[in-house]
Order: sequence, then structure tokens, then C-alpha cells
Amino acid sequence: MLLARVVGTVVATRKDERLQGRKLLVCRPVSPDGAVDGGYVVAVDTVGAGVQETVLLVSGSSARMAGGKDSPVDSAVVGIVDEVRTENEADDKHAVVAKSKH
Amino acid sequence: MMLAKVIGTVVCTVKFPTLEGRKLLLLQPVTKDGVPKGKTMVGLDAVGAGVGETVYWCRGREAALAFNPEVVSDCSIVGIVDEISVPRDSDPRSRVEDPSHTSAGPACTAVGPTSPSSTNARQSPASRGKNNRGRR
Repeated sequence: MLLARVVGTVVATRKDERLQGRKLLVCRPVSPDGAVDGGYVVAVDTVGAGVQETVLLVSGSSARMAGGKDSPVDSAVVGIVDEVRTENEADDKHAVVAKSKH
Repeated sequence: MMLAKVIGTVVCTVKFPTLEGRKLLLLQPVTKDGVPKGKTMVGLDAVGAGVGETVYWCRGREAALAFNPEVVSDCSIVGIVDEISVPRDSDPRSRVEDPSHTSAGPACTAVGPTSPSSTNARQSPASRGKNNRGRR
């Protein structure tokens, strides 16, 4: 799974019928410190995420399972990140490097 | 499976139902020598790994099969590495980079507490895992 930030939404009137009623979000993978670290991805929302939130992005077959059985989905948002903690070996302290703003 | 080092944890209160009670760890993929290579990712812990440990993780559909019942995951930690042993002659890259190298025996990278057995990796939930707490 990847850490990503929701940067927008997608509206599509004409789409596969299995995507009807699904919220589509534009996401960008980010590094643990919040810096952008990849290209844009459109993902199906399964948890009610909003723009500017940091989320967990799953891809592949698990995204298909999360997006609805047998739906043509290869990327899905499966979690809203509250906190990312990395251990700073030099200082031997825990550093909170990314917090979601609600 | 691929090698990675656990560099942190991720907390999500709101998440997909099958992820409830599961531990999310921040992973940095590494080479066999422990050198970071690639972007960080979030993995679902199936063996009780802790921060600072070297692990191997499974990708794709099989990552979801590491749990019962199945979860939504494309990256699952399925083992904690004790030791990596790569005989020099078996690694083609070593011959390309240093044609004059000699067969001086296996190159071992000890990544954790050394084990008296010759097994290179644990696959069962580790009693030596730093955070082996049941979180179901």
C-alpha cells in the first residue's frame, strides 16, 4: 500500500455500470514526510476521504475486492492516515512526520 | 517476496473493515546488503515485526492471502529476516563489478540476532519479534 494525498475529485457521467455510485478521488503518492513522490492516480474511495487528507492507497486485485466484487478497479483508498511515525536512529526519538488534518 | 526494513508505523482510525485490528508498518525496500532502494510503502504485518527489523514482504493478490479471513492488502509482511547469505559466485553482479574477485566463501549479512540453525528466515509469528502483540 502507498501513502497518498487526495488532491481532487473526478466526475464521470459515462462509465462502467459497476462504477455507478462510486466516489472517485485524484491522489498523489507522498513520502512519509509529506513530499509528493509520484504521479496522479484515480482511486475509488471506500472510507469517505476528502481533499487534502493523507490516505492509504491499495492497488491490484485487492483494490478490486475493496471497490466492489468484480469491478474494474485497480486502485482504491482503504484508510485515512491519522499519523505516521518514523524512528529517528540518530536521536533515538520518535518523530511524528505527517499528521492528517481533519 | 522482497526485502525491506521497517522504519515506522502508520495509524489509521478510519479504514476498510477488514483492516480493523491490523498493524500497519512503514517499509523501506532494501538490497541484500541493507542499502535503501526504492520508495517507501505501507505493509500489513502478519508476523509481529517491529521498527528497525529487516523483513520480507509479499505483493499482489497473494498479500491478501497471508491473513484469514482475507484482507485488502497488496503489501503484507510475511517473514522476519535473521540472516542473508549470498555466496559470492552465485551473484552475477559481483563478477561484473569486480572481475578479479576470488571465491572467498559466502557473503553473509547478519541483520538480526544470529541463530544457531542454518535457517535464513523465520516464517512463523516470531517470539523474537519486537512487537508481537495480538491486535485482533
